[in-house]
Amino acid sequence: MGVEQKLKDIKSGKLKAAENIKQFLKKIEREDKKINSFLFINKNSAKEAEAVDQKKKKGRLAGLAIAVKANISVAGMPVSCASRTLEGYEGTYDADAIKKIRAEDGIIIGITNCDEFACGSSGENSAFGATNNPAALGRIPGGSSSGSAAAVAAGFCDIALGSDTGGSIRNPASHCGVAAIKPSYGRVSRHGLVDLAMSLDQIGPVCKDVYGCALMLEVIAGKSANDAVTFDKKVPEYSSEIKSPAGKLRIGMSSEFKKLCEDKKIYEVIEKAAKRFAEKTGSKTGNVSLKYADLAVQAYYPIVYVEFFSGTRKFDGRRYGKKIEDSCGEEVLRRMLGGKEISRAEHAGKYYRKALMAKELITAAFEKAFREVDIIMSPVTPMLPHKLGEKISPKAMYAYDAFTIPANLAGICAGVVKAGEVNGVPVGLQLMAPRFREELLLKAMKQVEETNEV
Amino acid sequence: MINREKIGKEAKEIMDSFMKALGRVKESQKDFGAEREQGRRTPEKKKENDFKKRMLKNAPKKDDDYILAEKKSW
Repeated sequence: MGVEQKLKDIKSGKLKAAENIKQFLKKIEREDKKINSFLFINKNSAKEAEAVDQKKKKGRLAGLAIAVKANISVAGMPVSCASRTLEGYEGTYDADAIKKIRAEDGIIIGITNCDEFACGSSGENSAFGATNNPAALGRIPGGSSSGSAAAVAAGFCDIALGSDTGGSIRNPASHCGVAAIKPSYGRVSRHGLVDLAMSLDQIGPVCKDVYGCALMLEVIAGKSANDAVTFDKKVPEYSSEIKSPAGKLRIGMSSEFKKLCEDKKIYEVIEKAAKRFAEKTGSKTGNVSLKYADLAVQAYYPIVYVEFFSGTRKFDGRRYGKKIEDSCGEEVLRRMLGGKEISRAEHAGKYYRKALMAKELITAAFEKAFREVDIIMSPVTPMLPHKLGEKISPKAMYAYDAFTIPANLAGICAGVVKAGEVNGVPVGLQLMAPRFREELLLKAMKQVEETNEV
Repeated sequence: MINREKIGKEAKEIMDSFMKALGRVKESQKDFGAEREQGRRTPEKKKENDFKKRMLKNAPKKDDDYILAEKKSW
């Protein structure tokens, strides 16, 4: 059952919110041992749902089961960031996004696994064990929001929250065959999100259907006094907006991305999905140039290394947790040591500044592209998810996000919808739209979903 | 056991290889600094009821309402 129908049933009393939650809790208990998507289950969730059932006027997320990535603060629940550093640490307050979910009667069912401090693209970097891919068992689910995407794909919740700095929502959504959105930078408050790179991070939804993503985004988006980079822009009712089609669109496909796509079968799936979409909507597809997008990975990591190093200085083990350098895993340490080194005074004007200059050029390339096209379509990842435990170098791991990083650098919004499969493994289609044009993005995603053959 | 030296060296090598690739990006005079006035925020004044209790629960060492930390150890 889709999210829209379930909400109608809960609001009409046909389905009890408590029943919805209990079904998920049973399924998680039965099946999550082999997936490892949850780090914590909220044992009060069924009770909280009963309270929703008693309400006469129910909120927009009435009784839906919401899973939350382990780097988003939920009061009284563990915010471990899947790290030994914060093992046992409990959220002291609700993040802005969580407050809004609770205000709309959404039920926090649990906290999901992820790559440690969101550092990773495979879901293998968790201190509490890797997450399996429910859509392709034995393979990585992608990361870093591995547990969030896996929990949705496995049917353990209605909607999950993830965070996306360079693809951490879209990459696992693609590998697990579900829908997701990385909102424009400044669309959703980052208050209560543990930083990976503060100039790029965004919280966003993962759901089996586009409607669920639209609904969650309209709830969590908006200006916040707690986050200076949120914009005072009206938040449309995305879940209503997607009911009217976007009309004939100009679809851009980047030749730069085609060259970078290692697995040509993935690109074939994407081209077919774009063609199908164009035929059914009367849209036109054509090439669009994204100059410098091939440098996205190289521009992104110096920014992440420096900002992550800066953001982790608070984990000194004095007020809470353990000292991060003494308790973290390899990838977290690599980013901190790298960030420390390249932010030294003797390197001023070199690494970080050069990366910021490349970021400016990539942003300009997208601005130019969006004068020619409405939506850009691309693969989400250049390769299929590898098998769990397979040895892969850090640079090869970083390359997973070659197509998702540009949207973060440019600050635009981007979403994922399943487009097909290669060898039985899900392949997602990425759609990118101009900054703060989430309504256009969601309309197009909805149309892709409707024209899908999968 | 994590080999810090090896990982640090590896990180620097990755950064150096990325800088080489970014060589085709032309120098710009742009100042990337943020204006403090623009970035100023006005956080909510309301405190969460259980904040203090939860904060103290997370502290590794405490004495009543105080978090204990060793002097000069950092």
